[in-house]
Amino acid sequence: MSTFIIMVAKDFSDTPGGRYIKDGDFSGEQFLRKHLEPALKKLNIGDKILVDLDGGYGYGISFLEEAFGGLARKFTSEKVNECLDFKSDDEPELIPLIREYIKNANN
Amino acid sequence: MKYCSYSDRKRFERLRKKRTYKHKERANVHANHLSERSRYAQKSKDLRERVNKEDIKPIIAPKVFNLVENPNEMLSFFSQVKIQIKSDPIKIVMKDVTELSANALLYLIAIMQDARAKKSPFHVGGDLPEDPSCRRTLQASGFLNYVKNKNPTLQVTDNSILRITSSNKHEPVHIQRLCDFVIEKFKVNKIYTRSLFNAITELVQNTIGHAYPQKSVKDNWFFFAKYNDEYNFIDIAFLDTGVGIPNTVRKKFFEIIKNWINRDTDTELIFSALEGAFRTKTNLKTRGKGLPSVFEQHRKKVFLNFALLSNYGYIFDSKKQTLPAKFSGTLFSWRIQK
Repeated sequence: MSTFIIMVAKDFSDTPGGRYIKDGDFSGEQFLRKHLEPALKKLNIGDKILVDLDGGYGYGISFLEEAFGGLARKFTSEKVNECLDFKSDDEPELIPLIREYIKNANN
Repeated sequence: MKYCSYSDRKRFERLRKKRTYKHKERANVHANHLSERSRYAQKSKDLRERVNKEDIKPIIAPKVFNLVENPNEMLSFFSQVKIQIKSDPIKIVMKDVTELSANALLYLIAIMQDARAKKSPFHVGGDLPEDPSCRRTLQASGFLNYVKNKNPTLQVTDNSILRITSSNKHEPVHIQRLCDFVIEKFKVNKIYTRSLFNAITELVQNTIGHAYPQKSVKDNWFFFAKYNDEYNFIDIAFLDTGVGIPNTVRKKFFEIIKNWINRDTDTELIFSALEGAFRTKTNLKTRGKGLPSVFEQHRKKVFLNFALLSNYGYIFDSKKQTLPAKFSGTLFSWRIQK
């Protein structure tokens, strides 16, 4: 059992953008395609992904919904919730928000 | 002679007709384009001649040149600008302005960009305010970058002002510059500016996602920030000239009728969208959270003096009012204090 770490600020951008790739740079859709989706596909049973949200300037709601809600739409809310852990010391309220987006992804 | 069946002949005839029709259509488009170009050239020539003869229509700017503090007078001024810009060369007389806020400058830029997008020639001139502080704000705001400025020395640099930023894309680097400005002035770290980054990110996203269903203007959104070193606060203004919040939210049937009859409903629609009522046209539970998240910062007293103008709706510090004239777009303005 191993844990893969994705540090958003370091591996993607410290200034995440909007929802879709067509909207501009560093969108939620781009993060989903470039990092989250490939990481989840590579995961073996029992492995986990830790998404570290610290160190950046912040996150728009659209970015978070498209990235994590989008992941739940591609796989399932249960699988995403089971495989993803989060670290957000800078803004702890982000974690329940993301969990909500994952839960309501298909509503 | 080759044999040609009846159906073939009919088919050829149809093709010939189609080709002639297409040819005529193309010729019409070309003729329209030429006449449009000649009309544009003629109008530009007339406009230049009138400018050379100094036959320019002066429009006097209100003394309090601030959309949030003086919305009624400012909107009647802008209505006049919007009407006159179509037919006359105009001069905006600003010499008597005693209070100037960049929110009105943003709107003025947007009006000019809109006129440019309509491909209609126009001329807007102006003078500088005599009041030194207003004059400096205008010269340092970056407003002069958006107009044909013949005198580059007019532009000044002021460390307490973050020049007007605009774009039609979501470019987080611009929002980062605003956060860095706050970090530098307030001597704080990145965590402090997270609420600001998140709010501007959402406003830009809303602008790109909903505010411009058809329009093709150069810039969709604008923002500006000014630091007051005496009282240690920063005023921020964000503008988009899209269709306005009341037109982008989901309305119930009776609200559509009410909104059509009575413009008072704009404020109510905006307020309910800010308060997080389920107003997203996407009908998805996870959408429509952007505006409430911005308003939440006002509730938490992070964003002070929160003001919002959109179409006929006006909200200032949770107080509601209906505007006498339409504000074409959405203006957000707030203050952050260390």
